[in-house]
Amino acid sequence: MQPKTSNESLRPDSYKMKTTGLTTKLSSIAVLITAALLLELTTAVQYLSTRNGITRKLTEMAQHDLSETNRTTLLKLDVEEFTTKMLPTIERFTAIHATDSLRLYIGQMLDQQHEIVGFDYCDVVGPDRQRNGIYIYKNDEGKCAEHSIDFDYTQRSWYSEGLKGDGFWSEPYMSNYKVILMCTYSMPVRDEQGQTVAVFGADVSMRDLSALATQLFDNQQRSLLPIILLHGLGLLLLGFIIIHSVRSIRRLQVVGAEKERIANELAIAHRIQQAMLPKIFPPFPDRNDVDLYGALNPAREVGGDFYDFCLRDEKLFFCIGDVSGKGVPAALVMAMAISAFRMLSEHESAPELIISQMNDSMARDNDYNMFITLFIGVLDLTTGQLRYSNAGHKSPMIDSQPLPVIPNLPIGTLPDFQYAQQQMTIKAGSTIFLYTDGLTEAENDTKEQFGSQRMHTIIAKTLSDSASPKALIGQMTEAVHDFVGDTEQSDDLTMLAIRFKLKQCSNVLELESVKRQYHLTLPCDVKQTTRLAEWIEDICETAGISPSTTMQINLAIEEAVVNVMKYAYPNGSEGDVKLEAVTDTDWLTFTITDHGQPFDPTAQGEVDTTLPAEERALGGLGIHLMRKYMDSLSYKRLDNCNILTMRKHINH
Amino acid sequence: MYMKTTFKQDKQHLVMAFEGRLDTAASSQAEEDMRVLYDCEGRDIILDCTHLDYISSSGLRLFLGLIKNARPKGSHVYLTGMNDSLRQVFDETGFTTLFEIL
Repeated sequence: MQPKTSNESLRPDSYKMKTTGLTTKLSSIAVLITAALLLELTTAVQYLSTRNGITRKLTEMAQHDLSETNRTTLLKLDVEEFTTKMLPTIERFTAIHATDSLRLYIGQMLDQQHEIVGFDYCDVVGPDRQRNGIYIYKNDEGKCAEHSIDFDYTQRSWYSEGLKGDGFWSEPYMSNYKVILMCTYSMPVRDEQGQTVAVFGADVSMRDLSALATQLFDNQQRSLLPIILLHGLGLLLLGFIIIHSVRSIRRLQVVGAEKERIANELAIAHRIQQAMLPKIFPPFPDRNDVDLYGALNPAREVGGDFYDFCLRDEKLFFCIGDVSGKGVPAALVMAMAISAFRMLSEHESAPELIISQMNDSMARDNDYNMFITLFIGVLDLTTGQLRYSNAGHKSPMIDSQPLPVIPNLPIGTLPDFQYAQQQMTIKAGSTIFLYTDGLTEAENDTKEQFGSQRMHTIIAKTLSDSASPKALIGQMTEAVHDFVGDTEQSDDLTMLAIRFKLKQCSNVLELESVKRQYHLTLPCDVKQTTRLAEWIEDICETAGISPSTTMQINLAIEEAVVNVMKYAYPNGSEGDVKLEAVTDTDWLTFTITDHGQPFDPTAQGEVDTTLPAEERALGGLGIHLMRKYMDSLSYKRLDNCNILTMRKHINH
Repeated sequence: MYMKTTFKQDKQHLVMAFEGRLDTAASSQAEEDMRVLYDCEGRDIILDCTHLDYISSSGLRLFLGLIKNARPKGSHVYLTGMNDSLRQVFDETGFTTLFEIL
């Protein structure tokens, strides 16, 4: 049955671990999708914001460009208007040949117009090729100056074209008098008859125009900068999101690895905890007077439920317990409790003493107020007498009836609490069924509990078929699983079933004929061991044991008794050595009891029987022979006595 | 219940015959009896176990003490006539390898 139990118990782990792996993968995919969505979203936002930015900038630029163009246009219009306004005065002065007044007027006008750097006044060149031109301009200090035009202005477009119409803008050209590029707006000066007599031109420096052009270009540059900035920002944002996403994924991976590590450790803890419980069933295959089976299904990887049992002096010690809380904290307390039970049940025979000592050790330093509901029973397999003590645990079932229990208190709650012991004699063939509340309080999806009624029904049904403890627990487990369905197990589910059967004898007479008891008490004197040989030979002869086996048994018992006389009663101290021998069909069991100093022969090391004589120690041979010639050896210190039990399997 | 020893010697041998049970109760008497074997001076020691029924660790200890004394003096210790049960005890304790068993 053990492999099945371990398979069942391992299933949640492997399932959990697979689930964890799957969860990690799923969460990674989710993160990737989220990151992709974020990227898309950011790109969209970036696209929109960039588009808005560009549109805004282009609008601004267009408006700006428009205004700059307007400025240029306005400037042009200003110059044209200004010059045209001057023209009648110039024509009047020309008509009266008031050359000085004309020059003065032009100079005054030049001061008024900032955009115009100079004026040209050139007489029309006739067939006599006589040129007469004057250039009135602002010098470097901004003062008005004049210069006669000494070059052939007839070659200039402003002159030739200026003659023709109502106003002409020349292409830019280099000034002859200043290192500037300029354009000239020229128009004809006519006399009263309408004859063109001169050309009047206004020079506009290209510096102003170029400044305007530069400004236009700068504006374009400046509008590029925000776009680049926006692009950069977008990229940064993208980068940030990518880095952030990668970090998130890494963090998730770390968290995943950590979770996996914890899951692994819990899986190991689960196996360790399962290993603490008795798991070899049937535990006493050579005994036909008792059969038992136990099962523990923790709700989580580890839990606080436990059961344990051991057989000593024809008594079955058993317990079932439930630590408050669940998971790792409960598991730690459970480990403490089960080892305390094991140690105490080796020495104490009274359940209330075991429970009291467990309570005292639990209640001490119980800072976290953990407690255990616990039931301990001691069943005398020779008589069917059950002694028990309860610490707030559910009352076990004796067949279909609950065992009457005094609840007392869960252990760990109150130090020095006096636990009551109870006892009753149970009939041969009875089954003791112990469980934790995980059974009766198992819930299905409608929050309904399994309850004691269902438990009673299953017990009644299976026991009427005189089912074995294993079958009873199997059917109970199945019933709970059917009831609960797919609902998650909320609490540990633990059961222990013990079937007490008297020895398979048809009547007491036959029992007596098979089982015999012998007693011998020796004073502490090695000389008295001669009586031992006679006593053993009688027992062995009655039991039909061969002379060579008899000699081996004799040797082993003598060694044990001599050890007691030497070490438990050292230096001639007085005391008795009590021997009891019990024979049944298969076993010869000796129990040697003394009131001497604690002495555990089983704790002695093994001698090396391969050493040469020079290196061989004189001692240690006795325990070696005891181990060799007996099938089991067990020592306990109980009630100030050394008790050594030695068993020999006897074949007929 | 008894244990009895018989001792004989010549120029080359010291012979001790054991009879009965060499158990703990008998071991102190046997220890006294076996003291003569300590003066072996290179002579071989023969322990005749033909009539030895039983030996416990106390007896084995005496045998071990004897061989530890005899070997450095160049003496051999021979065991003769052991029954199967006795032989088994010697086997179990590794004593078979310590003595020359005839």
